[in-house]
Amino acid sequence: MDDKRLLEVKDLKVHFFTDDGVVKAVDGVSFHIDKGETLAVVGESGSGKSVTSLAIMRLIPNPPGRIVGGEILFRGKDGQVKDLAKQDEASMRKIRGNDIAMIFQEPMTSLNPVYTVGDQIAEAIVLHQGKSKKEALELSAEMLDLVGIPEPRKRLSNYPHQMSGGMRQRVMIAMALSCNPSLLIADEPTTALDVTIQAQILELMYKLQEEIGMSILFITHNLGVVAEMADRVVVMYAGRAVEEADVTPTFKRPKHPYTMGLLNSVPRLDLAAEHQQRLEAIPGNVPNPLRLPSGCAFHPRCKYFQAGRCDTDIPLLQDTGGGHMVRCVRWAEIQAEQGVTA
Amino acid sequence: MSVPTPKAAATENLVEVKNLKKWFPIRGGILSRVVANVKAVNDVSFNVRKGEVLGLVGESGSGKTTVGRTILRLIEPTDGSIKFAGNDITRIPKSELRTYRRKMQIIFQDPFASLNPRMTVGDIIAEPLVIHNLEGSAQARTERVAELLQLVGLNPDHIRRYPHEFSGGQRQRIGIARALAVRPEFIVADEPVSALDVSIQAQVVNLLQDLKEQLGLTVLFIAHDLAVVEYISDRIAVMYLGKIMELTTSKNLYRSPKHPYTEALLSAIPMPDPTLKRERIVLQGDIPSPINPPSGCVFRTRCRYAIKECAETVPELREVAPGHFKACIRDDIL
Repeated sequence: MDDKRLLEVKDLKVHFFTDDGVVKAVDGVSFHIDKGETLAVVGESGSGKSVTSLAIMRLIPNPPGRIVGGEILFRGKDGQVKDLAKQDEASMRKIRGNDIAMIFQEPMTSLNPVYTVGDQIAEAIVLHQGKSKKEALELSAEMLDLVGIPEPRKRLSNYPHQMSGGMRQRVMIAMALSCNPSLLIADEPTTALDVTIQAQILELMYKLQEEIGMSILFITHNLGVVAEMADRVVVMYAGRAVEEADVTPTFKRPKHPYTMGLLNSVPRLDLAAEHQQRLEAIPGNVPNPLRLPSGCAFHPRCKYFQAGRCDTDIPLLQDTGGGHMVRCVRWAEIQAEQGVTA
Repeated sequence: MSVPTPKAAATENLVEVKNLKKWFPIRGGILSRVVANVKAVNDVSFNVRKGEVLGLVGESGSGKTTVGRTILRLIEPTDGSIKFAGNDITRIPKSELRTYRRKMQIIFQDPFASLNPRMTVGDIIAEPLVIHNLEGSAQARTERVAELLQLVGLNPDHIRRYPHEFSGGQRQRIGIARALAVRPEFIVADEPVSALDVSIQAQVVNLLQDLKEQLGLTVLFIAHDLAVVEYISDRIAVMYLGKIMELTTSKNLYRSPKHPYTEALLSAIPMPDPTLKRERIVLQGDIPSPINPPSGCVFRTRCRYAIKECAETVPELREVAPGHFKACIRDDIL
């Protein structure tokens, strides 16, 4: 693995074996994250974005789920590269919280309501850094201060229900960062929050990344948040990555019809004031994961669909130049149709 | 200065809300006495003009949902008055209310919780027709349901299916068809697209816009997503902690917000454009408790323009430019 690489996911497959059949939640996803980089994984419900992040943490509930293929290469703090897909539970426990930390969407359900926040932050520090409880609590207060919680020492003895949603997400971040992880996985961290609180949390994450230098894997469906936070973007649809590029080309020169469709379907505050044109919605529904369409899974909703090609061949992820990857058999024709020169 | 006026400006108000208050009592002690009140809606006045979409935006706890439900008398108001088509409906008895209920309908946020899983789609949409004794025969009702399904873009052949057989976006269409069944004049849409995926959200927003044009509906569109509200609304009221902070046309609100809260709210919304570099106003702290809101202006504790006087008087919602109202004592800013 390249020296600057922190994580490299190769052809990851996570399938769920349900009574109704096999759900291929993640079916051959590859991407990498460099040190200090923020990668956003975007997709709608059922795209497999959350399952991908859970697979990296090896938190896929088994049964029914299982990693059935692929590699998750990760460079630990000790510089050694390990394949997380093959680690046993004991060694994963050393990695979780220490090398890789995770924050979730719902800060209320991911904190334990019967322990004080101090105890919960200190737990990870005692576990991974072998510090005494007293030292750990001291460090916990410093962490709360770092994430901008006023009167951190007093707050240590608070229970989660005594805090607001934004405060609880700050506690989650404090907990996640308490052991200096090299990778922070943030799964829809601001979705449950109000916009003014979301702005606070995003600013905090940005600032902490500058200070600490960790990499962030940001899972979200909010394109505005992606534009603001990400260096690179992976767009997922029905268990596969359909486009991967740096953030600016993703938004300015998208090459996959699904990415184009997503961008056209969000109401734009800045544009709506100028010309109140109709939103260009993507027709149809997100497909049933048990019965994915043949060929390209997006073809029944795609306006560039061509019978005999899109519904037969599963397109490969191709490099269209400069690391801009697209999974569409017609991407070059579509670009030409739109009058864009590559 | 000429102000862009909504298409319906010349026509009358369909809904008039005046000094509306809804306080939820908190009881405590052995005698269950009222120890405090949650001031969910605290002195709110606005009109919805016939044929317009009025957007109501605010963060959680701002009171926007309570306003919507109080107008429909799904929640009884504590004080103030609600007029529908000129008639005061604030205190009329339930029996009389039924006539008005036919004219005012609601679309809910959660398309999973708001449809009875044991009823077929046909029965769900026909229920309001049965309750209000419309369309007469069962045959006529079935025809009306099929027509409604078509209207909201669903297949009329699916009339015998159950809600779980539909996706989130399709369920929201069913909820819309149910609201439209009784041919209402006024619709309260309470976060109708917030639970939907981005690609589906646009479909439902477009549908609502088409229906509004086609049927000449008047809509109170409640949402926390300012981009969606701005897109669909003619005018927008911004709420914070039970009060309206600013009220004006969508264009004005985005182009020249006059209230510090609106300014901050607009700057907090992440735009899907990585090349855009904006100055971000990050509000400090959380929304204060509606049990004990700050004195004077409720926003002053997080406002970057707050002065001593802000704590003293409750600012009136006053017209600062034609059709542009704000509740802020400072005219030297923004």
